[in-house]
Amino acid sequence: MSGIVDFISNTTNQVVSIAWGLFLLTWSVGWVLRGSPIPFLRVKRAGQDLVEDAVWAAFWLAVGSSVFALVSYLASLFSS
Amino acid sequence: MELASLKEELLVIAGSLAVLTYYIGVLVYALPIPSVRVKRWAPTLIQDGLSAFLLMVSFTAIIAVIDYIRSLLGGDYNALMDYILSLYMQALSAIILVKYFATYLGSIGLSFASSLASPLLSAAMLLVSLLGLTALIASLVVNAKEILVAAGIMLYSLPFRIGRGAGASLLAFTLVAYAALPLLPSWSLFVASAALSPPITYDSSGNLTRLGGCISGVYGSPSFAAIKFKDVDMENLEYTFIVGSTGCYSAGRPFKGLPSNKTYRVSLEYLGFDIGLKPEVVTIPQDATPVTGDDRIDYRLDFKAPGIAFIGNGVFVAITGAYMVQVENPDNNEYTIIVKEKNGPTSKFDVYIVSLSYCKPQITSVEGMIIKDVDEGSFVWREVPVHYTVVSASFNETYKAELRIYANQCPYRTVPAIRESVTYAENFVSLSYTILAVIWYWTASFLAISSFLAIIASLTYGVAAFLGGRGFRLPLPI
Repeated sequence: MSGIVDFISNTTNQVVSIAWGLFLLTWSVGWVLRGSPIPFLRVKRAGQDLVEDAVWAAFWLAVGSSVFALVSYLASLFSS
Repeated sequence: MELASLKEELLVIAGSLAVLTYYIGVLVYALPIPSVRVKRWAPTLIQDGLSAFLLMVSFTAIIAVIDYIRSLLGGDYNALMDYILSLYMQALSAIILVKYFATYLGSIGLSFASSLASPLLSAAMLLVSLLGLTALIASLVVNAKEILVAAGIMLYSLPFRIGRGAGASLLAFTLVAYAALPLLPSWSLFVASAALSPPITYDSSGNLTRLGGCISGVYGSPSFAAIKFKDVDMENLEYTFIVGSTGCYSAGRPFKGLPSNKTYRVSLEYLGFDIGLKPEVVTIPQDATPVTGDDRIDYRLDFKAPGIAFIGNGVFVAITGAYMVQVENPDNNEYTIIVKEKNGPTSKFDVYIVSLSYCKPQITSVEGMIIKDVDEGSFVWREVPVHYTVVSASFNETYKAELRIYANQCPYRTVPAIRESVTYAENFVSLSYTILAVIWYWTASFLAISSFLAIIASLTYGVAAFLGGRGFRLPLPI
C-alpha cells in the first residue's frame, strides 16, 4: 500500500517538473506562433491560445500547494 | 491488515491521487497542443482534483454527518438485527409448520393440500432470502462504514474520472444504508398496521365454542394428561384435548373447539387412571366464563381434581376413603400429605401413588396411620410406562394422619400418543381463514422489506448523482 503512495508521489513530482518545463516550451511556442510571418489567422489564434493556457498552467502550478493547504484549512474549520 | 490503518491508507491514496489529478490538469494546460478538445480536460482535471481533495479532507465530517442523521432518524442496529432474526425464525417455523400440516392432510387423504402449500412455502423462502440480504447489508455497513466511505473516496479521486461513478455509488450506498437501514422495523410496522387486516374475520358462527382452562388438584397440576369431554346425549362422541405441562388445556383457535350448546361429562385421563373432575357435568358454553383479550379462546373453564395431589412432572397421589386436606412441600423433593378421616378414627383408606416407571417416589414415613397392605404393579399407558403402588391403611385412632413422600423430579417428557380432537367440518373453514391470514402476513412483510430496499436503492442513486456519479463522461466546457 505504501508502495502505491510512493509511486503516486513520485509520479506527481515528475508531472510537476514536466509541467514547469512544458510551460516554458508552450509559452515560447505560443509567442513564436504569434510572431511568425505565416499569413493564416488561425495560426496566430492558436499561438494566442497557447500563450494563455501556458500562463494559466504556470499560475495553477504555483498556487497548487497553497490551494491544497487552503482546502485543508477550510475543511478543518468545518469539522467540529 | 488492521482496519484503522486500512482506512488511513485509503485516505492517503485518495489524497495523493487528487493531487496527481490536479497536476495532470496543469500539465494538460501546459501542453503545446492547440486542440480545444484536449485542453477541455485541463480545467476539468483541476476541478476534479480539488473536489476529490476536499472530499478526502472532510472524511471525518462526512462520518459525523451520517452519524448525526442516523441519530436524528432514530434507529438502533441491535433492534434491526433482532427484528430480522425474529422474522427469520417465524418464517422458518412457518415453513416447518406448513410442511407438517401439508403432509398431515395428505396422510388423511386430502393430498391436494401439498400443492396448496407450495405458494406459501415459496413466499416464505423468498422472505428468508430477502431477510438474509438485508442482514448482510446491515452488518456490512455497520462494521465497515469508514472503510467503505474511504474506498469510495479513493475511487472517486482516480484521475480522468475513471472511478467517479463507482466511487460516488459506493459512497452514496454507504451513507444511505447506514443512515436509513435501521428504520426498517418501523417501516414494516407501518405497512403491517396500514395493510395487514385481511378482509376476513374469524369464524364466529357459534357452532364451536373455543375454550381453555386449567386443572388443579389439592396440590399441583397434571402434566401431559388428556381431558375428555364426553357428550351426554351421544355416548360415542368424545372429545380429547391435551393438558400440557402447565396443567392447562386449550380447545381454541385455530384448530380446536367444542360443539356449542351441548352437555358434557368431563374426566381426566392421567397415567392410566380416569380421574374425576369437578365440575363433572358441564354445559358449553353456559357453564364457562367468557374471556376477552385472548384471540385463541372465548371462554374459560377450570376444573379441580379433588383428593388428588399432582407432584412434579409425572406423579400423582390419590386418596380414597378419606379426605386429602393439604399437601406441604417443606423441601424440594419432600412432600407431606395430610389426610383427615371421613369414616371414623379407625377407618380404612387407600393411598394410590402413581408415577412414571423411571421416577418412582418413595414413602419415607407415616404418622397416625397403620399400613395394612401394599400392592404394586406396572403397565403401559399410551406408550408410557407407569408404575402404581396402592397402600391400604387405616387411621391409628386419630382423626388426622400424615404421609411423607420423597419424589424425584421426573424428567420432562410429552405423551405423543394422545390424539387431540380436531373436527374437520367446522375447522376447515377457520383453517382456510388461517392460511389466508398467514399468506397475507407474509406478503405484507415481503412487501415492506422489498419496498424499503427499493427506496434505499433510489436514494443511493440520487445521492450518487448529486456527488457527480452520473453523466460525467463529457468533460465540462471551459
